[in-house]
Amino acid sequence: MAARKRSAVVTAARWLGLVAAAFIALVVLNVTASGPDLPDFRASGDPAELPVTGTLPIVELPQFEAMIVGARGRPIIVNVWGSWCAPCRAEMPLLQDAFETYGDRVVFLGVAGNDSRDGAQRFLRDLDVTYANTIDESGSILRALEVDAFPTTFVFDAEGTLVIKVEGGVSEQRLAGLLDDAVR
Amino acid sequence: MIDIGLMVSMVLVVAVPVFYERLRPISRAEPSLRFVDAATGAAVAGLVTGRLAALALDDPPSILRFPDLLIIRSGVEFWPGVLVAVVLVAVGAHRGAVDPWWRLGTLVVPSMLAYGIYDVTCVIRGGCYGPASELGLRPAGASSAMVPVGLLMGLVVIFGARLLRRMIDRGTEWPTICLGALAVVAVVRAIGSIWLPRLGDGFTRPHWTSIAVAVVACIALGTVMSIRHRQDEVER
Repeated sequence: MAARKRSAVVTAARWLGLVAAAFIALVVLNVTASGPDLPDFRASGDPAELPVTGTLPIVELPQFEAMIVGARGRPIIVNVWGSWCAPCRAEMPLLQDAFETYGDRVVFLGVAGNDSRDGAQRFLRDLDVTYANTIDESGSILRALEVDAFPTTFVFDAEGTLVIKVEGGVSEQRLAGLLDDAVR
Repeated sequence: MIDIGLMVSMVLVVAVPVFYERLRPISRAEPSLRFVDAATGAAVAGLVTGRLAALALDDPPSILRFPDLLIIRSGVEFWPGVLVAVVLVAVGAHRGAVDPWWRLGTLVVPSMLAYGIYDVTCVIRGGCYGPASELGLRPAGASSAMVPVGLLMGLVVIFGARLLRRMIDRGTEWPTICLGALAVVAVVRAIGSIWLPRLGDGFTRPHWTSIAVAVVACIALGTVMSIRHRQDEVER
């Protein structure tokens, strides 16, 4: 009886050890890996201003690159979204809060993709979004940024180098962590 | 798209208490009691309640949109969820002619393990980094190493579960165990939230609610222990 109990304890301890080892391996992989592959994207061209709040201009890749060039000097958050995408709707108020908190130190730019202009404008109005947004009707920006999921958030450093790509919705903690690191 | 980090977290949240249960059965008086059987329904109800509470407070129109309800990552109010789960377990125990404190007490250690594991695995969900420090971890793409506050919170909760297990083995009464667990989790969340990143300058709603629960749980725990102490003195 005692031998059986000891055997059960040893088996359970081995399982726990395995779980712990698997987790440590995951942590090491997660911390040292580069996350989702970053696209080979480097904005170039003459600088351009960001769109005025409340407008939703149709933008092609060269104009988008010009906006990124024009915003250099501050970190840039680019959020790719769609009005049809539930996680985008959930995430947008967080981005608006982030814009209100970090807007003087970080540039925010939304890019609507796979979307109609009317639907996207209604979406922005419904959610009271006040940071700059554009719409990528041709899909050229989404292709250049290798967007596979909605929403996707990109962080560019102050030199305009793409440093982080986050696929899927971000939590408040994750977003605040990204922004704190960007302005550090 | 599938959130791999969240999926791995959830698998570990279930797997670790189940393996722990094989090591140390949760109830010697009722060996057939399984954590998964006893807690899953209440946990799911708690999760749904927490998500609904978050939507009701942040974006009421979203309650009517089912896809929005499923985006757990966008926020779950922790304490309303815990309250509903606790009430469901207690009511279920009462209906089964089992002492609700006893049933809740037997679930305390594996539940704290599950919560601790969820917090520890925040490093693979990318959401628990606090202040910059050379002693911390450097997430992919980040410019500096940061203290993994969530991971430390999870470890403290797991350590708290171990202490409570010892108290159970020494015969501590179930209400003390349950209130002790509540106090440990609430204090860890209240203190940990100071260093977790947030949008805005002030404390967040989860932070305030954890402070309130911590205060209430500590007062209740102190009262229960004081009453027990007096009873012991009278008996002597």
